Amino acid sequence: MLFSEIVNALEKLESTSSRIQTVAILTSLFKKVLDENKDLIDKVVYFIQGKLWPDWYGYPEIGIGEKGIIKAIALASGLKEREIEELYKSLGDLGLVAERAMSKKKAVGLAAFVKKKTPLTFEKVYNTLKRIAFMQGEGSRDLKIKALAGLFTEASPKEAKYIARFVQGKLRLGVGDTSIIEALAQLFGVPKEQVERAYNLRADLGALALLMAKEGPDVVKRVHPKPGIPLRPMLAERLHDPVEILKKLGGVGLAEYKYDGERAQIHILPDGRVIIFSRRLENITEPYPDVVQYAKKHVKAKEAIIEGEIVAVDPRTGELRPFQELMHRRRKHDIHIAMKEYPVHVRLFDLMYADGEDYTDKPLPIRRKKLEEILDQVEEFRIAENKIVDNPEDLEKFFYEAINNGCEGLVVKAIHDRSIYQAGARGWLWIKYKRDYKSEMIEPVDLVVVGAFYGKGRRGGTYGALLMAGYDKERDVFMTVCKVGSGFSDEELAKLPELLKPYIIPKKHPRVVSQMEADVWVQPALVAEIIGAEITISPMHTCALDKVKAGAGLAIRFPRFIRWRPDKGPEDATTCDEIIEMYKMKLHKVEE
Amino acid sequence: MELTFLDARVWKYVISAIAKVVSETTMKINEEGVRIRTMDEAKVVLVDFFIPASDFETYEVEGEIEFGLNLDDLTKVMRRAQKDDTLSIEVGESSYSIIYKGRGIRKFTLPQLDVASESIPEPELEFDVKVELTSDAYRELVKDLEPIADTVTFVAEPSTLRVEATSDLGEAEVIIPQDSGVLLDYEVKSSGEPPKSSYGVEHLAYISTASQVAHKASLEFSNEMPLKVTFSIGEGGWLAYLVAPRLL
Repeated sequence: MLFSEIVNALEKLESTSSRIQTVAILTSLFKKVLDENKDLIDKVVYFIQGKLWPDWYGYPEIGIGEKGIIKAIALASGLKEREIEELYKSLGDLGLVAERAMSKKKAVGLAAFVKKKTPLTFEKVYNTLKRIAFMQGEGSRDLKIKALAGLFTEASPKEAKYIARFVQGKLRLGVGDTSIIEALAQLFGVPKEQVERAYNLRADLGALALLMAKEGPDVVKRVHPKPGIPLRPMLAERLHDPVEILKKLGGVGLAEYKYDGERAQIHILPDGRVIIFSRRLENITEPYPDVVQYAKKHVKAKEAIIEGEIVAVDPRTGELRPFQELMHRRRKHDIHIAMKEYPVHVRLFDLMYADGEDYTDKPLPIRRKKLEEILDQVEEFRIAENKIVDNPEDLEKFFYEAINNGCEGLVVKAIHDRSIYQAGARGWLWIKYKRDYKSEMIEPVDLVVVGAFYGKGRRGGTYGALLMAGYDKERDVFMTVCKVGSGFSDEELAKLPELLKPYIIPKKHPRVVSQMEADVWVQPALVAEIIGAEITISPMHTCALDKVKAGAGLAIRFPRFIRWRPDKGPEDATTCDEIIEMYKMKLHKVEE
Repeated sequence: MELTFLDARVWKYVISAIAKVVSETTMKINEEGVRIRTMDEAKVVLVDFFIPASDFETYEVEGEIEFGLNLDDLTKVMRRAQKDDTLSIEVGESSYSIIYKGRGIRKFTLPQLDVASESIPEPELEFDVKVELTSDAYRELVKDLEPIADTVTFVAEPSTLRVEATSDLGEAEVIIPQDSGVLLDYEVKSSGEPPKSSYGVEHLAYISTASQVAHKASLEFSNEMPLKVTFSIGEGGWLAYLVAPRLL
């Protein structure tokens, strides 16, 4: 396939703003590809999308920046880099620069001295760019630039223009996925809804085009999710009012914790490989080798696509950590160290495919049942906390419970017969229930230890978290406000049993008001300075009970221990009224 | 298939010289001989290496095979070639071996690469100027110009080869009269203006690394046309370079 054919189409695409024309141009280009060499159709689709392959392949990028392109144009045209830079300044588009430079080129490599010139093919352009992308390591920058220059010398000025733009990532054709879908539908004579559906199930338009080219257009009807190719995720609408939410869902729904983590599509392939895709369909397998291991160990299906949220947990307490902690995983080069420092758990919530069967068109209860069946659930890898709710009060209570457990809120899902997995669509089958207000915590408080919880794992033998309370001056009691497990040094942790020992009492102290059951009750005596991310409404804590919201108190979200305050007695602790003040002071609407 | 070449060091020089130009290429072996034809990434230099079957000590080849090789890795193996070693090549399904025989037998096996065999253009060129000089003279010439040069210009005056270099740093000029003894042969066909052509110094420097391969080098060019540098090897073999000109 001649590259000039592609370039002709690119030129036309560039000069039209009509959707209908765009689709027509694409259709006739794709037709030409099918006539000449249908094996190229996937690569042509990617090229039109401005890439060499789908992002989720996880392949390297071309990796030549503006400077490098300028160098390559200089090399290929025989002009000085300075001249190219000046051209760039006046033209403002590297594509035009390449075109101009290559039409007044001085020396052009050996290609200029070949009498029987072979015109540049699309295959040659594609393969050269692919080779450039895979040049890695020492000296590769130079090689990449030279190879690009080599490509320029074989291209016509117009071809050079589009090659330069492609490499810069600025093809800017204004061709969206929908135009390509429409063109493929026209080309193969199938309804565009069918192509769209197939695309939602396999987010790879190139591969889909190739599949239709090879197996005939009818194949789109039979397309099902395939492990290894990401689905476009189903998305949720958003509401703040529990009454509204239940109304939308037909009176009853499955409410799940909405974890503050990274959404992950976990693919288990028949050959035993596990691939993880992000919400944006990037391949994120590499930062999560532990998730790969969990999936290998705890999924009993040979082949499956399941979905869940990867959450950061505190390595010492097992408590959820905020989303930001996950970013360490993405940044760290030494992933095995990051794995220890920032361990993760997975909370699963859906299943789209298992052992040859497409579950996307089955209602949620059936998908969940299958998910439970193929899972061997453990703390690190289990189904998200959930509850079937049919009244707003329960929903709200469950919502605050989720917030208190470090979640962002809930996702409430339809469970009726039509509750299918709508890949690639945002709809009312899933509804996000997030806070519309929140109150950031900016200064620490002094709280009293009233109970303790035994540690797990690395904290076996000592305490994993302490139950902390504020002082209710009016009633002269201590009201719980959080469970703190983070922020202690190893030394401080080790000393906890000894420190608490003199104050341990067999049952809850009469001056302590708590709805939580501590493993060990402690007489109010020790005071610690605590900071958190937010102060939030909580049905689990008693501080400010019924004062801000009926049936709920206030709690500190993501609390951290700062230091002991031996200079303070329990009655010197921050009072519940002060905590209410802090909550009200910083309360503001959540901007999304 | 069996191939044995008497002087392994020839291959050592050739391969390390080609590796300066390109890091991956293909080698073609057929009944005529062994050939590597390749271009650098920027498509400015074409390398053509050929050793005919008759120059090998033993040459038992049927049909044709072409396989990809990583020249950086092969260069490392080639460095181990010693004086008096013979070199044999064996080609397997997905690997190939280099065997030195001299102090005992040393065998190195490397993987074949999946390199698409690229169609290398065959420029048909006629040269107005032909210069023959010793390889050492060529190397010294490049060494003289390298510190200053970015671009090197050859000017073929009737009885003198003039070589100029310019860069931001300054200028250099080397004048080699026909009768200086440096030029073994000097022919200029043109009758009008002296043919003049310029090339990137880095490409000339690549080539000088190959000068150990042979005693003589031949330089051919025409006005603003490519430069061909040829080192003859044995009876009928060669290592030749074609370099695109830089038009100033």
